[in-house]
Formats: sequence, C-alpha cells, structure tokens
Amino acid sequence: MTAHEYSHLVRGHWDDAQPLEGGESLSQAQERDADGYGIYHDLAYFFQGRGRLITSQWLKISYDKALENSILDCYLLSMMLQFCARWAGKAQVAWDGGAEHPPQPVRIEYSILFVEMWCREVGKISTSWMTDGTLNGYFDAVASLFPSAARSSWNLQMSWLRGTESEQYRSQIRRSLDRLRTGKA
Amino acid sequence: MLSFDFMVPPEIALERVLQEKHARKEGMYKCITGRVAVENLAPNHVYRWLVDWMNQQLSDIGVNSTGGRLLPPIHFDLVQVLSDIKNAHVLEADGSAFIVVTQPMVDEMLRLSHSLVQRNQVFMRLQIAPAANSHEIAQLILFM
Repeated sequence: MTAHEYSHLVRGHWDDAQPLEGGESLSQAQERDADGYGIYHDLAYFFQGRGRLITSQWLKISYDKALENSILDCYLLSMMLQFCARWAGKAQVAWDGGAEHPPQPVRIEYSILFVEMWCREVGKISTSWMTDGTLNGYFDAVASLFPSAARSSWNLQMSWLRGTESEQYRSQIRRSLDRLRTGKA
Repeated sequence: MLSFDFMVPPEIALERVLQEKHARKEGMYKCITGRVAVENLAPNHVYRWLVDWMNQQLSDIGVNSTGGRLLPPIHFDLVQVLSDIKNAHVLEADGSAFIVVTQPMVDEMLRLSHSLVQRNQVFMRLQIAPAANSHEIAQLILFM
C-alpha cells in the first residue's frame, strides 16, 4: 500500500503538467500505473534489497531458494488480502488527487501480471505459480475470510469483466495507460 | 545577523498539518484528529514496527527507484480518526510528502492477516516458514 502511494508521487500523478483530459479512464490508468510501479518497487526491495535480510530473519529461513519461495507466497497473499479487503468494503485507499479506482478484480488481474513480469524479467524466478493452481488456492483462502454477503457482487463483477461487454472499458484503460507511459495522445 | 535553520522533524510537521486541517474541518481531515504517537509505544509494538519498517523502506529509495525524479522527503505515519474509517492518504505540505494510514485500517488488516494464517496453519508451517510462529508470518503479510 505504501509503495502504491509512493508510486503516485514518483510517477508525477499529482503534477499540474499531467494531461487532465481523459477523465475517469485516465484516473484509473494512473491507479493501475501506481499498482505496477509499486509492485516493482516492493519486489526489488524484498528480493534484492534490505527487505530480503529482514524477511530472512523474521521467517527464520537462510536457504536462498526457500526464502525466495516464501517471500513470493507471502507477497501474493498480502496483495490479494489488500485488494479483497477493499473489494469487500473493508478498506479504502484515496489520495488527494481524488482518483477513481479500477474495479478490484481488474487490479488483482493486472497486479498478478506485474508480479509475473517482474519474476520473469528481473528476478529470474520461476513463474510456474501462474498456471499450477497456486493463485486459485490463494484467492480462495483469502476470499473465505470475508462473509458471503460481502462477496455477493464479486461473481457478477467478474462475469462482466470476462464478457465482451467490458471490452470497451478495457481498451479505454489500455489507451489511457499507454498515453500515461508514452506521453502521446 | 545570526540565523538558525532548524529542520522540523517530520512527525511534528505532520502533526501540525493534521491539526490545522482538522481545525478547519477540511474535507477528510475533519475526521483525522492527529498522528498516533508510536514513539511512546513499546519498541516491539506492531504500530511502532510498522512505522519504522515503512520509513526505513522509504529511506532506502535510491535514484534508480525514482527514475531520476527529485522527490520531496517522504514520511509514513499512522493517524487517529474519530470513527471507524479504514483508509490511506497521501498529502503534501511544507515541502514534504506524507503517506498516512488510519489506525482502524491497520487493525483490520492485522486481524485479516492473523485470520488467514490461523485458518491455514498447516500450509503456513509447511510451505511458508517452518520455524517462524503464526504471529510473525501474519505481521510480515501485513507489512508487505
């Protein structure tokens, strides 16, 4: 969460120079941009920075491979916990820019992709967890913490996001994200 | 003429900004009454650990992480709120940036982290950390 908020500052989402047109889709793209940048920052800290030593001491693991597996497991669980808490209305995150947040399942989906991309391109860590059922297991474990009433709208929202009706929304967000990164309209 | 250029500690600067905004009933700050004085808590208190951990992480940020962008000093802190508001904010004041999280938010996330670890004790013991206790794993999940 801290890395996400920090990323808004680094990426200049507060700057007057940022293009203001684009409305909600730009705001949502900024949120997703901050998610991605924050994940890269976090993973570098835990796998390659001082966070690795602290985690090693805390979890009492000295063997490198085991430590990396545990860091990744804890990170994925923590990420899902934070998004699901917001999804269930248990928490909110806002910044003074007043940005609109993308739907939580979209943030979960993209955040997983950012983690996978970091593991593959930067950390040189196996990404078999993407396809071996690990993620479903983690999501189920986290989702079960919330009462079914709080999750009542989740299936509906996920169905919409998987359907063709959400394609316009998705392409709008993709365009805004590209614009944010390249500065081109 | 002799002049002194004192650096105001970020905790004091934040408290001052929060008090001013609260007194003016400015937006969300009408519910934020001030920071949690973590320095008065026991060194191993989870709030104090969290604030120290986050500030250490922020202080480790090098120029590579910012893409060369010059950032103001960033300080992380916990804030007290009048009701059960669970959220996080970023605010800029006096040349610094502050990332603040409400105390109920930390309590809720800590409760959820503990529940997750408690309900999956075998998995946590076998897969995550055989030698660590549940409390340590839950706090790590919170701090990530």
